[in-house]
Amino acid sequence: MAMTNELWATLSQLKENWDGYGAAAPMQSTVELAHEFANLLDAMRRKSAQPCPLQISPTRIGGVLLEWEDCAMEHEVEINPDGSVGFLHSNKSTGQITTRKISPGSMQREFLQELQLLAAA
Amino acid sequence: MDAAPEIADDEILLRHIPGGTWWQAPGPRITSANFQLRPDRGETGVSVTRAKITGPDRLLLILGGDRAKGSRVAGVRVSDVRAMGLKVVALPVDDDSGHAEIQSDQVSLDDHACRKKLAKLFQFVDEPNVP
Repeated sequence: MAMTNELWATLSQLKENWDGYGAAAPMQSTVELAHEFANLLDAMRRKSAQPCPLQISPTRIGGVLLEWEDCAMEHEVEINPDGSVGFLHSNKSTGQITTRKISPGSMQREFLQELQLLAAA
Repeated sequence: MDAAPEIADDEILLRHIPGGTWWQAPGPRITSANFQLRPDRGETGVSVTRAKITGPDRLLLILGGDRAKGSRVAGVRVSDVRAMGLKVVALPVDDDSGHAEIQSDQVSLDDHACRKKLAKLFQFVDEPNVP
């Protein structure tokens, strides 16, 4: 889904069981962190020749998933309600997947805002 | 109590994929966001249904899915799920005798890479609703 304010507002308003399988409603603080992260990615990818759209989805545990791809790789970032952030990179030609999870508290919203400014400079 | 019957390797498992690009990325393809478990609710696996018992239309009815709003049904072969190192367990419930779960086994659904691979295995089994 395209990055619009409407999208983020809708994400914030999702209720419990939005998927019919008992998914959690996204937490406001998680949506805000994901929004800043998405802005950062958008600023960085704007310099790419042909940036693919950033896909944004709620996750079943109340987090937000950001997905995008380039010519060689698929990338995913899971912003989790416990404050942790998971990264996944999948090589399109080999199928090899690498992941990393960053612990809660080591990623701050203001820090991401600063990185956005740097990326856009 | 009788043990739940073994699910054959050649059976197809179905899952409701809510409408919209939140869950159906362009392509369309199915996102890994569909397969995260909620430990706070004691979830032990990804809910699916056995196609030979509960068909796509019945599944959407049970879960309140609406094709007019983009709901679709995706399927996966049991042998492909088991080949990943996951297990498939029959867990009939009141409103769905075909209900089953894909559960962690040799690999864990807590692992982001595992969920990504599972998402790639699932394929839509119905046509998108075109207004």
